Order: sequence, then structure tokens, then C-alpha cells
Amino acid sequence: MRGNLRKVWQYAALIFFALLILLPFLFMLATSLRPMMDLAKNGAMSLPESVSLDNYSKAWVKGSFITYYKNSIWITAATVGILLACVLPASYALVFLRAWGKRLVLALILFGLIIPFEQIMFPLFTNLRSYHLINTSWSVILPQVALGIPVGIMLMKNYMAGIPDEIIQAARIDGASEAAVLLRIVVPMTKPVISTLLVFFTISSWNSFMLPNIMLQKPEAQTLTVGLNYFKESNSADFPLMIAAAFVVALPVLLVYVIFQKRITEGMLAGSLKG
Amino acid sequence: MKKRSFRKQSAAAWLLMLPALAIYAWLVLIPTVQTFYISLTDWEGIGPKTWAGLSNYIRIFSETEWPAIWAALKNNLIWFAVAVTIPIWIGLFLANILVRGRVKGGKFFQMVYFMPQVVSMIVIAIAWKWLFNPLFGPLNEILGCFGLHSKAGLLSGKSTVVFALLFIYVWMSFGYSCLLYTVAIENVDPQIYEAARLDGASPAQEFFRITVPCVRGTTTTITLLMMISSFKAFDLVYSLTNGGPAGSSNVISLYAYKEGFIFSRMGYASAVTVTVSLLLLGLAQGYLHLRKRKDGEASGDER
Repeated sequence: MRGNLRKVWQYAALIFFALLILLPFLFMLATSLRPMMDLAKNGAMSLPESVSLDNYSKAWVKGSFITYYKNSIWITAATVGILLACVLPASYALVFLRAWGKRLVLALILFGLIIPFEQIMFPLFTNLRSYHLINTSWSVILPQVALGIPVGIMLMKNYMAGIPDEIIQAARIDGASEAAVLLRIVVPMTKPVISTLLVFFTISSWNSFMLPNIMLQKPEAQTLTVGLNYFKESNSADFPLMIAAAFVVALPVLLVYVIFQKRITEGMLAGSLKG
Repeated sequence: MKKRSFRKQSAAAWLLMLPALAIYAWLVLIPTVQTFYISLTDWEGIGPKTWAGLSNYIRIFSETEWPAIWAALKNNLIWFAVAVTIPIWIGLFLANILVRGRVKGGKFFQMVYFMPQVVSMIVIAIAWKWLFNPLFGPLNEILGCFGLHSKAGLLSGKSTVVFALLFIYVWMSFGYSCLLYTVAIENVDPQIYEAARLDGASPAQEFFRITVPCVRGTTTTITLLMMISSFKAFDLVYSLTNGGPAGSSNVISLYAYKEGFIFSRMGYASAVTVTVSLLLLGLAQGYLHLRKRKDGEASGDER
């Protein structure tokens, strides 16, 4: 009997916290389907008088979300692509090649794990401004790559260290160049970590706010997070509209999350444990 | 023979490391050094940098600036105190049930708890801006049933806004802690629990005497992560309250941001960020040191 009582408490606790997370989202969803006047007249807890997708079409058109989506997709894809292109060769070199200065490089990279973005944001901005890169996607892509290199290399390096040396030596004896060994042998073996890095950095970049907010002041160049914030500021009286806009941004992500949940949580886990 | 191969490998290695190092040095290492330099000048972001020595650092403690900085720091410290305790404990509690209790649907619960981490901060800001709204949001109505209703709304009250923000932060973060602890508890050797059960240990004893000590490493990691995150807290505060009302929800990162980018006092703002970074480094080191000593004592006790 006691076992059953404990089970009840356990489920109660789990369900309580689950509802704590879900109820706000469900409330929001319901409210996004009603016009502001309805909400203002009847209050938040009432049933809607009419249900429609008007707020969504209004949000989509009024906020330039197509532009924001385009920018976010490009910036995230470029960030992750360039990051992988930098991290793979660098990790390979650190693990399998002998070179002078390797310890120094490693120390510099470890140092980067501690540096917060706030520490470098001022000179980063002024430097990029002097190169006329502000308001271009590169002002976001390149810093995101730079900030991701320490985490990326640490994770990749630790994984590559598990690859047996004999395989590398065998390839070298067969006359393969270092680049060939990297591309044809090592990279295929690191698919799990690549997948992890892909997930972690895609989510990081997609949701990042502070960096794009500083670098992108023109609406045509802005990402979803910055654009949504701007939309929120300029429509702060119309709650259902704001919420619809929030869902325009969040629903695709939530969908991807529900489908790829296992991969995503593994990626976020590894990214924060940083080896 | 060996020397030639070493030089060849060296050259290849540096070639392969070049792209990563170039971008990293240009956009992270150099700006780090630059920040130190800027903090010693009176720079306004444009134009010449006039040397100011340590005057920016002294200014932090001056009568004009210190009250605002202290107010912001106080908020960070409260944030810090909450962030390294409540979400971590909730996560541990839930993870323990998910892994050790025999409940169904573990994956579903984990998915739900982690959901806020996956959507952008702005979405969460919009959500709670509405939820906390005194006129049109549901929370005030619900609280009203208990007589706790607030006229201006919890986000507009100088004394309540920080607690509202912290509630949101805890709400967002416990899923993260739950995930980390789930993995950690899954890795605990089940034989230890069996042995304890044979000795007649109660579930509570199993939790406090076995589970908690065994996940020490994760606790350290997640405490450090929350420590760092509580000193940032930028996105949420900026998009929800922008430090208001009247600066009562200001946090130090927001303060530095405004000083540098809005008031153009980049020299001074850089001094602030350097000081905060050093403070944070000191706290993290202190915590790790304490942790090492505690672990040393604990493993001295274990057979």
C-alpha cells in the first residue's frame, strides 16, 4: 500500500511541474486565436467569443518575418558550417600531429571557455564597424564562430583522442597526406560528435539575441530574435498579436524539438559539459 | 629522419589550425586585450582614445556611480543565490523520480521540462509579459482569487519585479538541471542501491546518502554553469523590463551595456565589465576550491 501512495506523490509532482511548463504555452495558444478587443472585454480566463487565425496572418505580414527567417537561416547555417570547417582540422592537428606551440594553443583555447561575451562586446563592435561589417550577416556569423571554437575544439578533440593511433599510422604508411587522413578516415568516424555540435550550435545561434541585437540595426538584416523583440516593442498593447508573433517564431522550433528531441537534448547536454 | 618528419608535421598542423586560430584570435583574443586597454582610457567609441589611467575603476566606487552599480550588483547576487539553489534542487528532485521511481512516460516529462530552453528568450519574455499583465493576463486574476492581486502587476512593482523575473528564470531552468541529473543518476551503479536496500535503507536515506553524493560532479558543474549564467541574465531582463521600473531590476551586464552603447562611455563601461569578470572568476575559483576540499574530506570518509 505504501508503495502505491509513494507512486501517487511521484506522479503528482511530475505532473505538477509538467503543467507548470505547459499551461502558459496552452494559455498563450488559446489567446493568440482571439482578437485583442475580445481579450480586453472579457479578460484572460474567459472563453473566446470567436476563434480565428487573424492574428497570425497579421503578425506574419506586419512583422517582416519572412526577412527575419531568411536572415536567421542564413546566419545559423553559415555559422555552423564555418565552425565545423574550422574545428575539424584544428582538432585533428591537436590530437594526431606533433608540432611546436601545441600547448600554447590549447591554453589559449581553454582560456576562451571562460571569456563571457560581455567582456569583448565593445571592441568587437567597434572593430567590425571599422571594417564596415555592421549590419551585414558577417558581423554575427564571424563572432559566433569565434566564440564557438573553444567548445567545438574541446568536444571534438576529446572524441578524436579515442580513435586508435594505429589506424592513422596505417593510413600514413599507405602514403596518404594528412588532409586525406583527416577527410577520408577521421571525419567519418566522428559523426556522433559532429551531430552533437550541429545541434548545440544550431540552437545557440538560432536563439542568440545580444550579439545580433548589437550588430544589426537595420530591419532588413535582423534575425528572428531581434525582429521579434522589435515587434513586441511596437505592438505592446495588442497581446494576442504579440503572442501570435511569438508562435510564428517558436512553433517551427518546437516542432523540430518534439521530433528530434533525443538528439537535441544529447547535443545540449554535451555542449554544456564541455568535456 | 625524425627531425624532418617533425617539421613536416608541424607545418601541416599549423596549416590545419590556421582557420580556427585566425578567427578566434581576431574576434576573441584581441578584443579581450583591447577591453583591458579601453578600460584605461576615456574612449567614447569614436575618435581618439585619451589616457585615463585607473580613473574609470575609481569611478565605479564614486558617489555618483556606486549606488546604481550596487543596486545592479545586488540584483545579480540575489539572482545568483536563487539560481544556484532552487532550479538545481527541483531538477535533482524530478530527475530522481524519473530515474529511480518506477514511473512511465519519463521521456515525455523530460521533453516538457526542457522545452523553455529550446525557444528563444524573447518568446519567453512575451509569454510572461502577458501572463503577468495586471489587466489582460491570467495570473492577476488567479492571484485575485487568493486575495494577492496587485494593481500594477508584478512586473511593474519595484519590490516585486525581481522576484517575478526570478520566478521566470527558475521556471526556465529546472528542466536543464533535470536533464543533467537524469544522466548522472542513470550512471550510478545499481548495485550500491541493492546493497543499501538489503541493509534496510529507506528511500529517503537512499536519496540523501547515496544519490546526492554520487552525483557530486554534476552538482559542481551545474552550480558553476548557473553561477555564470546568473551574472549574464541579459536577454531576459533587457526584453522584459529593460532594467525597470526605475532601475530596480537592473543587472550589471545591462548596466555596462547601456553605459557603453547608449551613453557612449565605453572606457568606463569596459572597466565595469573587467571588474565583473574578475569578480566572477574569483567566485568560481573560490567555489571550486571549496568543492575540492569538501570532496577531499568526503572521499576520506568513503571506504
